Amino acid sequence: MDMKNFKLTILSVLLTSVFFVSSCTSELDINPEGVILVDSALKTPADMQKLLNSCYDALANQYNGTVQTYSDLMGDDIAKPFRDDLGFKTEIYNRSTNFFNSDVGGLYGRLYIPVYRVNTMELYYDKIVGLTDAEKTRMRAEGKFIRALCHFDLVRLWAQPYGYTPDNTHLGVPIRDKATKDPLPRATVAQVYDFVISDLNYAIENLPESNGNYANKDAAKSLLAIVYFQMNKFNEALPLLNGIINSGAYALSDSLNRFNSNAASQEYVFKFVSTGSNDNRAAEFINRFRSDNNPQPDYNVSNDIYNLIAADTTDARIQFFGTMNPGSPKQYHVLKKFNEDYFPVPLINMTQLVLTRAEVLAELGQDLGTAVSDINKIIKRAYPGNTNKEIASNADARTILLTVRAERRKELFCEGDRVNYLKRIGALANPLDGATTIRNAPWNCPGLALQFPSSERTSIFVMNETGGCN
Amino acid sequence: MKKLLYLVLLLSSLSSFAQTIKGKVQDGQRQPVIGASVFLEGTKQAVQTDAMGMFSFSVSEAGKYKVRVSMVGYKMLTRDLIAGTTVYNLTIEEDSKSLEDVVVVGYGTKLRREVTGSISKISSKELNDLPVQSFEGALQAKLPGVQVTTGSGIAGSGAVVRIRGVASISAGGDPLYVVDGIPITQDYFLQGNGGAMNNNPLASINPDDIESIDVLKDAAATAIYGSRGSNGVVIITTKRANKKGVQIGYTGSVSTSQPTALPDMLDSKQYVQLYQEAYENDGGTGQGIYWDGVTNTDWVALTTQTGIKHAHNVSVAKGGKDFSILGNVSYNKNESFLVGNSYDRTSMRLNADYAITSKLKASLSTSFSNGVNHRVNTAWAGGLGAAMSTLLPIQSAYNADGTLANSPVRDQALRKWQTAENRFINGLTLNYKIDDNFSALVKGSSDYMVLLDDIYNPKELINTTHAGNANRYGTTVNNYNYYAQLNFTKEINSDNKFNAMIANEFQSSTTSTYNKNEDDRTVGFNVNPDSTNASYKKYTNADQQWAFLSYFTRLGYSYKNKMFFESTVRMDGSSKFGKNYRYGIFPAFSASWVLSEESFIKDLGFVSSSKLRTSYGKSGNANIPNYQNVGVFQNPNSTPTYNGNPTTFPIQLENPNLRWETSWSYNLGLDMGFLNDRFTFSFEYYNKKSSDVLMSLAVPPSIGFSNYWDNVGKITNTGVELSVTSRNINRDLKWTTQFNISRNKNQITSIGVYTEDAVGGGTNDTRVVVGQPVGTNFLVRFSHVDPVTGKPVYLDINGNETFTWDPKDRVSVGSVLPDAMGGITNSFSYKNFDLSFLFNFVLGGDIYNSSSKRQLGVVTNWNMTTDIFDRWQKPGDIAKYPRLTLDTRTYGSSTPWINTTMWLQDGTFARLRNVTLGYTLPKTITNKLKIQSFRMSLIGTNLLTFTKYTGLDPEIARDFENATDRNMSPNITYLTPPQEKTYTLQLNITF
Repeated sequence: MDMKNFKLTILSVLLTSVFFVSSCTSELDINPEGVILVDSALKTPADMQKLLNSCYDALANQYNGTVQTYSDLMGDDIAKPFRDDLGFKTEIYNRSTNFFNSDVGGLYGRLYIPVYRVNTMELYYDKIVGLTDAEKTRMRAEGKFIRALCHFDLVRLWAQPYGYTPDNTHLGVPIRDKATKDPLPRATVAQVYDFVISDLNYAIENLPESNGNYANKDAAKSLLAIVYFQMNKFNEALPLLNGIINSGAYALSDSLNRFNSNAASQEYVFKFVSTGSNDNRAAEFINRFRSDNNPQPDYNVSNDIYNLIAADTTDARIQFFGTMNPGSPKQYHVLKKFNEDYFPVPLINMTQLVLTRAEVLAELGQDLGTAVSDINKIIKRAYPGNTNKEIASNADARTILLTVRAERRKELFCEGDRVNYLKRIGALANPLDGATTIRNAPWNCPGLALQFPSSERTSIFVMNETGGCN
Repeated sequence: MKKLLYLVLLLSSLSSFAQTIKGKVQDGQRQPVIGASVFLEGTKQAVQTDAMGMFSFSVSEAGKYKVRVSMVGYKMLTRDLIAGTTVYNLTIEEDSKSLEDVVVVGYGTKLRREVTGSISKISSKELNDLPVQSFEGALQAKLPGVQVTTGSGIAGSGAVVRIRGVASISAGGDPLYVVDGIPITQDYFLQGNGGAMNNNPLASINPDDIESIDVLKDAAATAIYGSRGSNGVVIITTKRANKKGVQIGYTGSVSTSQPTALPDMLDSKQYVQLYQEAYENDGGTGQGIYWDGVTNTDWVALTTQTGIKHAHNVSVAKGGKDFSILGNVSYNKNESFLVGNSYDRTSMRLNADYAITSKLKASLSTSFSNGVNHRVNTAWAGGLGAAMSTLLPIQSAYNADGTLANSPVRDQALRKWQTAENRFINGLTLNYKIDDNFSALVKGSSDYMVLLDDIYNPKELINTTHAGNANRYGTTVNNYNYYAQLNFTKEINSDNKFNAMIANEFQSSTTSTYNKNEDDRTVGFNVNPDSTNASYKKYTNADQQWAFLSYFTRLGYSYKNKMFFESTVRMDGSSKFGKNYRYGIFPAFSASWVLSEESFIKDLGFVSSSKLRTSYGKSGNANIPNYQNVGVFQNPNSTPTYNGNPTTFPIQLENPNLRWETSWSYNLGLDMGFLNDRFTFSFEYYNKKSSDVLMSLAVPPSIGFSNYWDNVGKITNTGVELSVTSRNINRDLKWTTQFNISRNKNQITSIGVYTEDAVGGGTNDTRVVVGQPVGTNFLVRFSHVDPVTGKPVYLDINGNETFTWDPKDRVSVGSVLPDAMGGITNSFSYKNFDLSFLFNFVLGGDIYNSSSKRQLGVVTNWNMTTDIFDRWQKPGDIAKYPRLTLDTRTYGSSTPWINTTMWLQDGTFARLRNVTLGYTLPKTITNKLKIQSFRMSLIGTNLLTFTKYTGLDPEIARDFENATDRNMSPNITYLTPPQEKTYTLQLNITF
């Protein structure tokens, strides 16, 4: 071969390669179809609003009864599930969850999903063209409300309560304040509460007074009051509660049934919206408890709570109970509270806030008249026509406290309040009734903190103590 | 043909006026060897022997010349010949292992002498003597360092092949399969895990098409495959017409298939008795379960059979100077021992080579195969698996009117299910010899696969008023590659030779899937659901696509044909890698030294060949699902609303740093032959350190996601391999022994901050544990059965006895990987008879019999095996199994079906894998019959198994959920069917 041909051959081989190379380099940028790539997902203020809306959507699907019943299963209002396929729920009831309990692990992970989304929004606020400062502030405040709510319930369910150790240095849950994928250790309970309070203060400062069905200033204030109440910080809780209750914007519903799709909206300070049976954000309440179309619901109420209410024939709240196989050894009590096709979930409602203020006042020994007035409003609604149940306007703090505690259980049973409430009392320096027990177990026994999922376990993460509660 | 002969004669006669060197190359049986390369040393002259085995050189001067003869499968021969009129007979000895054997390396071939890396080879003969479900099964126990767990007895099922251990956790741990230059589609999960069987992408490859399989093991050999080479490379070279003249061949066989073992299930009386015992143990009174006292169904017998297989292959080859062609047509009907199950394969191949000019050569490889798998449910999905579990003997298989009663057996009879694969693997190569030093090659290949999974359920099965439903799950994979390479060789002088190659390759694959169904179909299995039918629906999924763009080079230098040095570098870019790591570079360096060329070895006299090899290099693994590198938000068409307003949200985290796994490996090899290679051995030591091991992590859910692909782990594989061939007797009676053994130590050295549960091997409780091998059995330890209560006693994490089963007490107790494995083959031949035995063995490793926890524990709606007879019945009993109960809590947990070491057993076994008895007609008879050869053989596989394992079969490749499961859970059985035992009568004729 002469040199000319040789060069031509080499050139042609190289050119062929270069042709392929140049046409192929872009071929390596292959992206999935039918989805949006992260780089193009958040471009406009509307995209940000959609992402924020998805946080409510994700939250609503956990506060549909799941968060509430997982708490209540550990308490004394729900009877032991008797179906075999509810094994993981039975483990919760037995207060011996292990890290393979995918129901518990699943809820844990799903409560962090809105947190990740809120944190993702933080990365984009300054990149979105057309997003006004006012919108940015409002979105950020809503985000912090959501993030606080998630962390608050996570730390209540997966850690020993505030007050378990004097300085609250016992382990809480990981604080996720950034959209990262790094494994994190558990923060202390004190740190988690500080984080929740900080987020809620920002939310209170920056949320609008009115925000449709989304978080507003009052929602954040109420939640912060509940947080302080959980911490037994009554002085901090009181002004917030007064602000909401005295504002006149909300009122106790005349009806005992706050779980009705047509319930008066004045009862609700913050709710998750169900727009119909196809968009039902109370599914777990309804699917587990509903008894009008199912003689054997997954969850039934305990004899304990039934007997408590049935003991007083004037207690109208008996309307929420039904008795199956009456008189037989197989008798059990079903709940009628959630016999609806759908309803909004009143996460923060006036019944709860009024009861809380009464208790706060009694604990502080302040303004007992208001405390009596609060509790008597609840009593009047619960025992229609039986004025003997109301307490005297000059009742002492102890009487008020005992009454509030009794009525609180009878009002809020199966709404996810009871176990956290008892833990709070357990952590009080003077719990009034002596050592607090929760269904015959100490309020601070290991099994009352749900176990973390195995996948949360890393070399820097300490799991909850095992050993249950017995 | 005659013209060609005249031409040869004419040329021979013309050349006789000059000085000539003439000879005839023949084999040990004095048959001419056609197409052997004959070199005149010291010159550039080289010729190939003709149809008579003849060759001739013209030389200018009389005298003695050194002639070298080289031929694939034969030892190289060098002789001094004197120019003149003498026609020399040169007899070359067959030897597939000699240093002069041709070995296929990545993107080229070499003489074994020149190879610096670790490459094992198997020829077509060894493949054909072993009837297997899928060709890779025939590699078992033949090649050191290659672990082959053959698929179960399900027709068409695939083997799990691991080369030098497993260096991956979540990325595919299988070697890269390359057929005639194209990395083929090898996705075992194209159809998930339907009916407890993964699709086997290798099933449609016809073993009769294969000329040789070369397995590249170390980095020197695999680094040329860059980011895809770290788990080894299996290069499959298909047959070509390499002899002159026309050759027609037929291979036919008929076989039977039976299970190697069957379960011993309880009969009705036993089952009822044991159920009653459990019932009464729990405090029950009266009759615990109803039985009519008569029904006693043997479900195992109803779901198994003796399968019949037959295979036929016709090949026609015509070799010529400029044009040669080979055609191969095969049909294979492969019934398994499972009722209703068979795999039928029809395949056609046409390979042709054409010298367009003296410098330009074109080579074409084309194949089409059609594989139809008549599917049945197995294991957990039904069939024999149901007979071992949910089908109770007290249940009748038939209704009073004799029709089949409702059961998985009836389902099987009514449902029509087949998976058909049509596959085209085609390639065209243009090779241009630029001059004596340069040549260029361009190759384009395509592997096009259409997979149709058709299921028809008649109305009896789906209990509707509809006529029945027809479903088709269609998958098309369009995989193509292109590469261009420029080769350079330069012989500076007889002592110093250089070679170099630079190349560029691009490969792309697109997978399209859809599902069509029709709810109201009267007839028409295997017919497209009819789009005109009102109930017709079609769903098309988003395509899956990946691409690789690569550049690579190889530089070689040899000194005196006894020292060889080589370096390769490949740069790989892939769509699967994150944007921060688009390209990876994979270098390797290696050297070998033919010690037997040195006087200090030659002087020893008894050492006939000796070679030392060493290599160090890097390769990778990129066998992960597509698009794991990009962050993704939900499809806007399927996002929910909240409060009536739209939402958007992320569903996958971005990982811009996602990249290949990296393996740095070191290899040291010594090949030696003694007494004229009557005794040879090859020893290898290797150490492979893998980092950035890809893990599909169950990440801390507090991140806001549950799964994420990341490069996290580190794994080391260290091992030794030894293979020995001894020609014990080499007279009329020949006896050869081949033995190989490999030991691999696999250890996970890091999983970052994660714990053993970060990656789970399906539901099999195998885990990743630092300091332990991949696929560690991580279980709560069962200690013994308490003689007083009959309850199982476990050990807690501190070794204290407890009745409570708690997953926090799990510890590493075993491994699914064996300590060592190998095979020993003894081959005898006497005159025209040949006989060979192959034993394979696996030492160590554990088997987890996962389904036993339901067959031998808490009494449920599962039948039990007769092993349960050894159980606790009354206080004081020392028993293997605990008291019978209906309540899972009796065994210390409210979680049913707990995994404990009660079901873990030693996986050691040895098996008579293959016996072949053959008879070849003598040449005197075949010549009279005007045929070239005729051979008949009787072949038995899996005839005997020696093991202490109490389950069905100690060789287990179960159905897998994903690549992680495939890496971590071989040797876990969950009602997995046993291997098959076959007897085959085979006939080989060439004309």
